[in-house]
Amino acid sequence: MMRRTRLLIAAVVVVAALIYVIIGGIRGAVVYYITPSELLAQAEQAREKTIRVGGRVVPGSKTWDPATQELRFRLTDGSATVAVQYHGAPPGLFTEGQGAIVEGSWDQAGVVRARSIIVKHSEEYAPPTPRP
Amino acid sequence: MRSLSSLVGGAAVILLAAGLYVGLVASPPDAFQGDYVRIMYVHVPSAFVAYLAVGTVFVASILYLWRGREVYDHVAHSAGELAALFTALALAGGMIWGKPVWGTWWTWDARLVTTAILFLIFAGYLLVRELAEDRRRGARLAAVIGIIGALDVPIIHYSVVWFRTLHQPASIVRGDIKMAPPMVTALMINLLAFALLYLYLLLQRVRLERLEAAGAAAGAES
Amino acid sequence: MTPAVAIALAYTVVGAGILIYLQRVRRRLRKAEADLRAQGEPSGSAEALTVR
Repeated sequence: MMRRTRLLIAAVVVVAALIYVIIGGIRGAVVYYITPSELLAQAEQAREKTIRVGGRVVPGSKTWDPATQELRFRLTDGSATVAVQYHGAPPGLFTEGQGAIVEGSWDQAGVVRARSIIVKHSEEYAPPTPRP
Repeated sequence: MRSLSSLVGGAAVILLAAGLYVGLVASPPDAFQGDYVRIMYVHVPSAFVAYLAVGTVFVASILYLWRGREVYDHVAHSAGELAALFTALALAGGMIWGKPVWGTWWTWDARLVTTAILFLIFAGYLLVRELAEDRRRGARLAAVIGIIGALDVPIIHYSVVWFRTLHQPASIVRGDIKMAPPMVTALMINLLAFALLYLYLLLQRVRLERLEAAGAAAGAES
Repeated sequence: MTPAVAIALAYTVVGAGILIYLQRVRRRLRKAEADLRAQGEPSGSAEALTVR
């Protein structure tokens, strides 16, 4: 009887988790992020909403002020570019020229105020090339 | 049967040792993520074995529903347990890899979500069998869950192609390898090692299932 | 998380998961074999009772 009760509790937990993951998945998974071009195309609807924008960090666009903890950079998909502002240190592997996905809101000034930054890397793996 | 099992087990141990060596020592760090790339050599093989196990459940479940022979159910139940285990290990290894490289343990990305669903389906698969009052009814219901659950595997696999995801697409697609040769070698050795390990675990687990079924039958007679 | 910590954690979690599972299967195998042997003996014998 004890064993059966435990199993039933486990079954309820599994079903609840399944529902939770499916709902979370439907909300976020089909289009995990939008590109800067898509953001600009739906500029008015996206304002003040929580959005996830992904692109390449424009080389030379990153500024980081350790005193104020202000990180600024630009994200591009090749045709459109958006400015991003973040309060806090950049994540460990955040690099200019690499992919990044930011989650936050798009303010009136057209700047994405990021609450989190995720680094996206490619499927290419290779050892570092020795610098001359 | 037992000598085959020992042979597979021995080969798996040797290859796992070799895999550990090439994964941790002989293979180079990655240009972008450095040594973190070494987590790939346990994460990808874990996911690969999860696929193999789900595939086994799929075939064995169809055969069980079709032919009704107990041996197919023994294989399906054993592989179902391994499917849950290795999906959990792939998720855990992926989270440990994602935290330092992506900057997050978890996110609602299609690859991650569909893999979590696979784990929950097979956790449910095992629970249904344990909860069933009638063993045979439980086995038939589990077979249906196993067959439907297996359809998640192609969704997981192509999630990175069909959907826009954080998870990078496959690095090795037929004819197109986006990975340096020493890394491919290290990955291949570990994939082979894990495949043999899977076969060994499956043989052991099926033997256990048969012995327990024989014990239960003998117990019911006396 | 430094690379060394992350790698150690990932390999330990995967390795431990496999080893714990294997140990569990082995223990159940030994028990199932012992049970079968016990059932094979004439029922009611003292030995069969103690093994079970």
